Amino acid sequence: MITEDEVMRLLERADPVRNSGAVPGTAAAGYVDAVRTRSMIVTLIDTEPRNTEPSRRWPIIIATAATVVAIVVGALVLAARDNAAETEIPAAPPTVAASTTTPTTAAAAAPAEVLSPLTDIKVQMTDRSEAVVFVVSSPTPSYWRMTALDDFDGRRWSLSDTELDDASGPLPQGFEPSVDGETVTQTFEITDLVGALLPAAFSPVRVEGSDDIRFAAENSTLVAVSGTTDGLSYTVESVLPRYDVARLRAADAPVTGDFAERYLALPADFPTELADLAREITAGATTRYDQAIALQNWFRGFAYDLSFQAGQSQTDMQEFVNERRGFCEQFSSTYAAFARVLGLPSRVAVGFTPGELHADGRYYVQGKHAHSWPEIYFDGVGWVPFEPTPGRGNPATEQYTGAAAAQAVGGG
Amino acid sequence: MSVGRDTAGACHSGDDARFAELYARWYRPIWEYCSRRVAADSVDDAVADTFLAVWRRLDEVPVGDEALMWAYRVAYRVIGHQWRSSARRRRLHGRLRAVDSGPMVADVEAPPDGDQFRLVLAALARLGDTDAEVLRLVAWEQLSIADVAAVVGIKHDTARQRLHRARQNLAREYGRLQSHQSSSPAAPTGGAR
Repeated sequence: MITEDEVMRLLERADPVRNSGAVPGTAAAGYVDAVRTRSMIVTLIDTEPRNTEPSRRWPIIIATAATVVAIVVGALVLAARDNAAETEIPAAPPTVAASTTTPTTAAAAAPAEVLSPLTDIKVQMTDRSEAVVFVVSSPTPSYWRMTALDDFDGRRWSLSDTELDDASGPLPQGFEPSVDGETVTQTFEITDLVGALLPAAFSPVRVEGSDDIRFAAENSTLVAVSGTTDGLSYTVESVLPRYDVARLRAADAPVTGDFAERYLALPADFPTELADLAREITAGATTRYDQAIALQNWFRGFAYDLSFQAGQSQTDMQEFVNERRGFCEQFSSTYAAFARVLGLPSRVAVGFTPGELHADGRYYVQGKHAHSWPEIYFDGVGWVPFEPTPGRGNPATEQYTGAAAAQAVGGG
Repeated sequence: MSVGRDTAGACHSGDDARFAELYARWYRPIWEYCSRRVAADSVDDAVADTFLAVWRRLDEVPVGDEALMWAYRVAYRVIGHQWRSSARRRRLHGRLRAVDSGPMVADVEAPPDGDQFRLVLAALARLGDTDAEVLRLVAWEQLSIADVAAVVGIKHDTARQRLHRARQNLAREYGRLQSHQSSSPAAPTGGAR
């Protein structure tokens, strides 16, 4: 048994600051802190009651600005000292520092992790082909989308760490409000769906039915934080965008900044032959929309083959374009990578095709309906789904993809 | 919302100089104090909030050795407020990410003492808020009992009793965690990769 003195010595050595490589007071950090302090003071002053006379407020702001100059100078002096002193402190692994947070923050640090739904598709379509995974009551059929994967490392597509927000109020939609849309209310009943991602028509704007549901606005994803349970029922109000070709053609501005960096990222070793091929296929296209359509239609000339070896890596993509056959996993992931070559921000959406409409007026969605498709971002419009997989078509997007509604029939 | 400085009516350049001096002097200890108590991404906010509070209460800053204890106390309250206001948000929020297979374990190389550190910090987290703070102030800020009492806002004798009890509790919780860990070799952290 450890003694009190021993445990206290151990606690001293576990000091997160001592064990952390992070140092305060670098010139930049000091400056940022000073500016932030300043801006917070200004904010406070600005939120004072309206009847406060400006003459009483302005001097404070000016005084604060003067203070900032002094702070920055002070921080720079401090920084010079620190940089000299800190070099001897050994860098320690971040895990120790990370575990020192309070219980609440420690719990928050563990993300709700879900299996890569894209990798899971083949299993759904083959081993669980006839299993009814959920049932939807909806006035109109649509793809039932779960999420969209944004990060490609050359081996697989995955979801980067995404903030989850409260889903009790209105949810921000995944396309510009100025785009025409049709509001569709759907009620889902989960019957046999494993994971935490909840299907909904794109783009959900309201959800009801469980306190357990959260929303990731970045990729319009509904999540049951404790995992999906059989019998879980929820109602989603979605706005289905009615994109029109003229507007998409006009939305031809390139996307820039952090957003572009994230959704145009490709591995440094992305094969040149694939990049060249992407450019060759779209050489005749004059707008970004026409590039997206040219890519889609080129892939739709391939053969659908669920027996194709599963995969979404760069190597799989090369084999896929050589053999010109595969299933949605290859179609969607290769399309998304090709789009990035062309400067079209992309991600891989995962979900289900509409399923079968039964006599009770509901859509029965089975494992064989598992599906994936690419989404392309258009400046001033939003995320727009395309359909490169032959034999598949979203009834809600036919007006601009030209791909007629279709899904898996019969067995597998 | 009223700003303390505002009611002073005028802005003395002396205040600015005083604040700048305190900022330069306290930045490091306050940054360290906050770094030991909040998640890395909240440290900057905690430091900024603390100095904002200092700026607003510049007239109350004591002179002499008590001054830093006063600043720690300000930071202690600021962080307490952050915890309370963020606890609800943290329950509501969370994060989502997809992994390819199995429960992912962020298994960064641990130092030789890594497990002990983690255990003692976990043991600390099981104590009451005030007991844990008393121990942190003693072990990390290296404060005397009198200073601990000033920061936490309790009497000297109470602080002494707190420390005595908190040390016992920490040793007990550490022992529990240790025996629990050794009795279950297939701890969850050893999961699939």
